[in-house]
Amino acid sequence: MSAPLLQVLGVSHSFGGLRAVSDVSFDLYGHEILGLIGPNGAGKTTLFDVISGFLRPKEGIITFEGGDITGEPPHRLARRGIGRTFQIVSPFPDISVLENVVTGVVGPNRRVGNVHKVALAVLERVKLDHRASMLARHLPLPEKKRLELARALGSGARLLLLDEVMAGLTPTEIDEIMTILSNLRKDGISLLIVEHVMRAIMSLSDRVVVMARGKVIAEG
Amino acid sequence: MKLVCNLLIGAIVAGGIVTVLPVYGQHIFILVALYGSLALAWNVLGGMTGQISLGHAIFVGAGAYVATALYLQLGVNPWIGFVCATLVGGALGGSLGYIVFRRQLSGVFFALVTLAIAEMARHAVSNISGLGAANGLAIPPQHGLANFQFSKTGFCYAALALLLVVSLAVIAIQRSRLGYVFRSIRENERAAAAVGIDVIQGKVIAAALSGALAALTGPFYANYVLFIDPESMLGIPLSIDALLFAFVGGLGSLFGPLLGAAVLVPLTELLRGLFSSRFAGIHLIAYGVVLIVVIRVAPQGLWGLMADLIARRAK
Repeated sequence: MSAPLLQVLGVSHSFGGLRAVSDVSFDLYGHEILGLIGPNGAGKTTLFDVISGFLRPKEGIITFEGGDITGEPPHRLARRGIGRTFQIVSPFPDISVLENVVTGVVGPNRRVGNVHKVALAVLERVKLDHRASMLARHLPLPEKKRLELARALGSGARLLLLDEVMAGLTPTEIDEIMTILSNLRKDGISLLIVEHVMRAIMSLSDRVVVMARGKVIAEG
Repeated sequence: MKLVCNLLIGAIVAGGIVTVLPVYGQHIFILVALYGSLALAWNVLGGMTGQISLGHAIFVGAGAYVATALYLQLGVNPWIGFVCATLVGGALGGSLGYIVFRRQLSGVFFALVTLAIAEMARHAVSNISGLGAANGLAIPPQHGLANFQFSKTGFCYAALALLLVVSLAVIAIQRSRLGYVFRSIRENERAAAAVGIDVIQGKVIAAALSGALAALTGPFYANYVLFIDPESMLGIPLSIDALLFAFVGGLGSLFGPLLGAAVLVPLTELLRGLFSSRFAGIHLIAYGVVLIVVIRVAPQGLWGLMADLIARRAK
């Protein structure tokens, strides 16, 4: 097997006396969908924040595409190609859906041809192109989640960290987003998914990591 | 492109109107353009980027004092004074932003720091004799294009030109990558960082641009009134004016702040003319009332209210 895309080695993080993530290690390979499951409070979101740079790990090393990225700020990691969504959906509410994605496209400050065209193409990938001119705050929840996905894709992410993109959705909406996610994998994007919807995790993921009380208790 | 065309048409129409205005009307026109420019500049940082400044007078004051002192002490041409003022305003905004934002201070803290710094500057200048201390600096009248001193009508055109420059700058910012960066910071800093936007750098750039544009109004005021002093150029009321016009006009919109100035400046002058002998400061009460009404009726500002009405009419 080739070298892992993302490597998490002995990562720990604590808030005061609470050890939220404790000595977590796992690898994620290119073109892979890795599921991350565990009960509430297991440290999944904290781990996401650490990997995406919003929190600095107290211990451990994280590498991406072979380079050490431990402790780099979030915008640098995004420029390297690590995108994420948030558990509490946070699109930019007072600008249009298209502008949200354009922000993603221009965010990393790299050369892309026609910004609007690129953004529209991304919206098509998540089936939101019909909403392009709508204010993001007026979207229903499932579409807000897809918009966040689109924004991260627009920024050129090759690894996407998805924090409960299916929570609160109906079964039909879940099927829709599952189709989108498996298409993304076909396009060569790797995914790390935190999810409570077991049906989705089981059918999408190549492997699953199970966390409880900050520790990895099972993998495979 | 349409927006720029509308802007140019508006400028031409305004240019025609000023020729038939009485002198007092021309004065108000100049004030509207001046305060409108300041409010637009404030809005780059306050409205677009969401970092409320309570001390924008410092940029106006810095611009006015730099240009005036250079002219009086070294005989530097006022036109070059404008350039120096902008550079100083930008550097001041950028370094202020760097100091505050790098420490992750935002929101209320930034507002208070700007307020404090502007007040410090006011006290400092009040005690520097080279800058006229509390007595201020007077510019000897010397009409002519080279000295940036015109007739009333001439100043109307100059004010219009200033407003046009600031407006075009604001449009250019809004449409560039920076426009997206600024708005994403206002909307959600974490989400902005997650798509590769350097939030701190973005805020610093916003502060620098906002400061540079605001500083342009300083030398203009100085050359129009031919007198500057710490109270009027660095005082809290000026900072509040910038914020208030933007707020009443609409923070989220590009030209709301100009609309705010266009409504509130004539109102102030009108009230001052009617009641100043008996109720000095009544315009401040009027500001309060207008602010409360706008927040109650149209929290998105007058510009948003107007856009809503037009949209409803169109339906």
